[in-house]
Amino acid sequence: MAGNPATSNITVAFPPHLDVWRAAREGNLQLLIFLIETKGHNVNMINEVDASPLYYAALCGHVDCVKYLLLMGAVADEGTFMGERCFFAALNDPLRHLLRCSKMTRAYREPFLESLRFMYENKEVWWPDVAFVCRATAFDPKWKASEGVGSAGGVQEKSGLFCHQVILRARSAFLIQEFKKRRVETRCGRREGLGVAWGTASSLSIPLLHSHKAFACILQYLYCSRLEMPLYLLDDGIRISRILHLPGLGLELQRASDKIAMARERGIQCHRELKSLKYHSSSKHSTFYVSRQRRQEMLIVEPKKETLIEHFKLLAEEVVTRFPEDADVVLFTGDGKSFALHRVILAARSPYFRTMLRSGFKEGQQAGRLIVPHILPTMEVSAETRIFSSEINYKGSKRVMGEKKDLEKKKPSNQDQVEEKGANACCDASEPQALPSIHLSLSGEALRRVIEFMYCDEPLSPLEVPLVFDVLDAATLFMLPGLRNYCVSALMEHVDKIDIFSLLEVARLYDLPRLENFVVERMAMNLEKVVEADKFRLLVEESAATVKAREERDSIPLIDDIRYFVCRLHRFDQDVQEMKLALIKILLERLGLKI
Amino acid sequence: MDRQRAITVWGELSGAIDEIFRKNASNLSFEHLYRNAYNLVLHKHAEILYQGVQNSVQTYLNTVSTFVANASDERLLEEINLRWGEHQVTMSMVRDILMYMDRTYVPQHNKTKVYDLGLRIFRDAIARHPQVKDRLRSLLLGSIRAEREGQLVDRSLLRSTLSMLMELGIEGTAVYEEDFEREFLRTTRAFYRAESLDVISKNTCPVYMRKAEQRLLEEQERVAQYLDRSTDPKLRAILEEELVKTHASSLIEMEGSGCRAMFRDGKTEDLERMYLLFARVPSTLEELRGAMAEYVKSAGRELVADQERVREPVVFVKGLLDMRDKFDRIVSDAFQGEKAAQKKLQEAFEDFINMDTRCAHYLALYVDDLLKVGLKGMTEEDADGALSKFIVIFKFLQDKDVFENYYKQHLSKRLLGGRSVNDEFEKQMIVKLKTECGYHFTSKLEGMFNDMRLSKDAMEEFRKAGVSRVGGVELEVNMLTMGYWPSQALTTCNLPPEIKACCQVFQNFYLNKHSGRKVTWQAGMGSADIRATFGNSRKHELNVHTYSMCILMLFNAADTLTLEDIQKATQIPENELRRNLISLCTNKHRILRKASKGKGVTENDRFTFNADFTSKLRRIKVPLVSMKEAVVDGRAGEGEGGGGGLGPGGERLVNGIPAAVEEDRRHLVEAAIVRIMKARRKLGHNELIAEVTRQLSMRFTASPPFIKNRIESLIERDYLERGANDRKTYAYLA
Repeated sequence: MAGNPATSNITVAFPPHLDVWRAAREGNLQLLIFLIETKGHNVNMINEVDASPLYYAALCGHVDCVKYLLLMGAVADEGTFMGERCFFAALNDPLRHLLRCSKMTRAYREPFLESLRFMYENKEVWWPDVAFVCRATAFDPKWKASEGVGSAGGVQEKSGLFCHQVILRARSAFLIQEFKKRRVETRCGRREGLGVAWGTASSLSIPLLHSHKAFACILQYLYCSRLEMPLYLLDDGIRISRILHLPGLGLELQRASDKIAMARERGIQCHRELKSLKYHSSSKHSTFYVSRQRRQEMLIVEPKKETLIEHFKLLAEEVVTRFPEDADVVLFTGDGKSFALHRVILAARSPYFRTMLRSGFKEGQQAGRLIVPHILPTMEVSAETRIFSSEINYKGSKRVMGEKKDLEKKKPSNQDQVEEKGANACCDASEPQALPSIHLSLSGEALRRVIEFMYCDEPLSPLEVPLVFDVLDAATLFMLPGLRNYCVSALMEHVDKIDIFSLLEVARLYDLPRLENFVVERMAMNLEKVVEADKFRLLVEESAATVKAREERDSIPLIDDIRYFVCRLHRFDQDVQEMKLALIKILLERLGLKI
Repeated sequence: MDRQRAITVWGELSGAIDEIFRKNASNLSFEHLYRNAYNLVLHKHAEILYQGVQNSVQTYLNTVSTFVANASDERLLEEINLRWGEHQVTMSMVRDILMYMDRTYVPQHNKTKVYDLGLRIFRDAIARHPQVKDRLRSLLLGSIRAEREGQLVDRSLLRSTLSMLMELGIEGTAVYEEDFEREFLRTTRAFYRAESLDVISKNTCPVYMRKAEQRLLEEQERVAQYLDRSTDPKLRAILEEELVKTHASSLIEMEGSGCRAMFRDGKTEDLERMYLLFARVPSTLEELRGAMAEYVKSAGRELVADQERVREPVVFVKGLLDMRDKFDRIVSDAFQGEKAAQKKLQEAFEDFINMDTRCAHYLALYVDDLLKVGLKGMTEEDADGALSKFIVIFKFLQDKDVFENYYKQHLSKRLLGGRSVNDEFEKQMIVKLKTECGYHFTSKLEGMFNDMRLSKDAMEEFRKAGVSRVGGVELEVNMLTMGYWPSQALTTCNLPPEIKACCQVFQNFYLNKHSGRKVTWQAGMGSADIRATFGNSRKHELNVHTYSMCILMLFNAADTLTLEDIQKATQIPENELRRNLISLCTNKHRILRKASKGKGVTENDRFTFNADFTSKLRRIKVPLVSMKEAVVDGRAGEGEGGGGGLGPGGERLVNGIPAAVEEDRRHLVEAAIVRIMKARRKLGHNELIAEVTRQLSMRFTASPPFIKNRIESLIERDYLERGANDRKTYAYLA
């Protein structure tokens, strides 16, 4: 086997059978990082004996690798086959401890959750389109002092919590209604050119003590599905989740609150003991535990990706079938389709869009502009009696309008296109006109898969055979390793419909070691047919040529790989193995290559 | 995609990159350019792309470099900044479209990222262009120098240029350090070395310090404004060395305005400045503290020496207290209450206060004065304050037993003479001493108070018994417990018969009540009121010492008596006799007339009753002259040999310590040794000495030779023995 894994660094082309499991087994962290982050291997991928990389890393006692894998979201849940297997296989107790504690950090760097966190952390600068303004009241001077917000009346300048409507409405049914109500009213206002305030009718009342802090915690939950709430805010959290119609969260918070109250009654104060109460795995939605951070006792809700994905699937379905009302950019495809999308999601999910929207090129100039925060529509969170009442700064909204009009003037062709294809996107055509647009040269169907993946971490529509190549190209271009993995899986599934040699080419072109391994294994399987093909002969010659200044005894990489798989596939059937090896030998002799 | 096609695609891209350089990027499509670059990389033509970009940037920057190189000195910085700004913008755009290459091709082939490549080319082509590099540096240094000299410079220009140098280092500070910082630090050192020498030679210490402080602030601001943060510690080290460390000792010792003057004049503000300045270089701080200690010691010694001349303990202690206050303030204000300085100060005070035992005596005298006169009319709080202040000084004293000795004497006089201002104050003082030195220190003093109280009760009873008046003489007795009171040689004298009768009555009365006790009469500590009739039957009431009373009573029988006669009749010890006689012959109270001239009393002197004595007052108090006068005159030339001498109060001194105290110490040390040895059984010499010193440190510092002496004496008396094998250890003999 070529290549010394101990010294391998990423400049070396890794041999195809160097895989994540092997890297984990050998404790080659660098290779592991490369394979997972650059090559896009799935962290939880299992091999032919149903073992995951984490299993090997734990078995062989590579602490660094175990830590890294856990950080990347390797699953080691208690009570599952995979989890218990890792746990029992682990080399020593420290590793077992590490595995048991993994819930604290689990999946924090899982790519989708990571991009959600990105959105949350950058919500002020990444084109927010709604602002919650916490207004202090005379009842709570402490709040006023600590937050520095809440002068008397008016729209706050910079103290609001800037958010994205799209994320919030994806997560809370209540907020969909709220936003819609306001939008209708605003639109009416616009048409008549009158200054009608945003839905003042929808003000709600809950008396809260620490509402702004609790609200910020809930916001984080809405974005990242991870809640870090100081215990003293629990009651407010319950109330807010009731108002925002988040029954799951409300229920969980209530349960946690009850348990803590019970614990307190029994006189348990310190966090160590609270922690030992084990709130975790109390529901199928999420994992709970109490932890101590910044000298506060916090209730942590760990995200379970499934529920989150459900929400975003709905959103993805929406954006590919019609123009959402809160979209702020339109993508036009080469074959004339268009999608109205949300810049924040594009930027968070794909480095390509992130760079494009902030660059100084045409697209960045037109679409990447940030609407200045203080002219955003605002929603007000009040601690006193109303939680929401909203106002819009009309001066600001006019400016937004003005900009959009300018854009339209600059690019009249845009408008034509939109009107032409508007029906395609089944939405009223007037809305996307006003939005900045970006033209991409790929097919609409492919872009649709990409969008679905970006919105919910999973292509909802099927990846059929010719299309999958387009999607693969797009995924590589947009730097979406997760989508590439889906493509590889689809290709492997449809391998019968594709010429095996062109598939090998694709695998090499797009640098897909998993696919390449798969193809070579396939070749080894069907060696009788393969050796007859002219293309294979060409490939062998090409492969032989890659080794510069060949000498008698040098090997040919492709042949080596096939031999490896032949031996592995037929390790219990000596006759077949020898027959196949003989076939190779004959072929080589015919080609005049000696080994 | 073959090579030919790749080259055409690159051609297109290259054109776009040139457009970017021409700042026409906003018309270019990111999507298009990115896809082209992506295709090149995907089809393994990244080499062409990478090389091509490198060449384009190189060519473009080469043309730019000629502009920069040809810029005049005045324009150079601006020109570079302009170009640098442009370069940053264009390179980030180039990086954007080549992002795919940066993420795949570059790490796999160990290349430099595109943006960093641009930085490297910029560094070599422009920042280190032979016509730019040195000019750039000298311009930067020139501007900084100009600013140091008080001119206004464009700080933002400097800041952006320096941050450019920082960034050109590519994840390091190499360029900044080599091209600028090294030379900058060198010139800084030279500049401040020259300036500090100049300033210190022309100015006083405070002026220099103000200047240095200002300079330090300026440089700190400079770092914050436009230098890189990594320069801060290096620059600070240089400044501290040049401005503070090199000149620390000359500043401290500066004639007329240095530390001495500041301490003398209590210039807290200047001292604080100095402290803060020196605090930057901790080693110099030690010097400053040393200077303070030195000053305190010398001032203290001066104070002690002054005292030698003026003999005014009150003034002395007041001076001491003032000094203490002053330096306390200095330490807490100027030295920020630093622990090390406090310790140093304490050491300095201890040093001169414990130079010899005189201080203990002075302190005792001061308290005596306080309790007799000083506290008169004060409220309890004020008095408490005054006493507390005194205790602060008292803490410095090591030979506390010497103080105790004097204090006891004074106290006994105050109590017997009824001269305390207020009993409450006395008690307060005792409480303070107790908290400071512990119960043992004051137990005897408290015993004295107890005696006074008991005496009062006893006298009341005595008077109630109705036998107090014998032959017209009213007797007032104070019963003093042996041991509590300052031990005095048992001095007997022949009391006049009237008095003797009184005493007898009292003695009987007392022994009746308390059988088994022994009463001795201390005539030397009493006083008497006698009624005397002078010529023209002028009647005066005289308050005199008991001895004087005895002497005067003799003159009831005769008008003239010789010294010898008096001596024989009264049996008063000669010292006391002479003292009392002189007291009775002073100009003010010339009750007796002396035959001889001069102050002294000669061997065969004769004394005559002075019937012509006059006084405006009816009641006259005849004070005793001080012991010294009486002795020096009468016994001049008598032995003052050996270590012995006479103390300030007239007592015999051994090694500068009153004999009584010396005696006490001997017992204390021996007791301590026995106590320790009893517990330990066996102990090395050094350990024993250390332990004894530690145990006695509350009362006095025992010197090792003294302790050794005691050990030997104990060995002689078979309390201890030397170890059989090891002569350096001692064993306890039960």
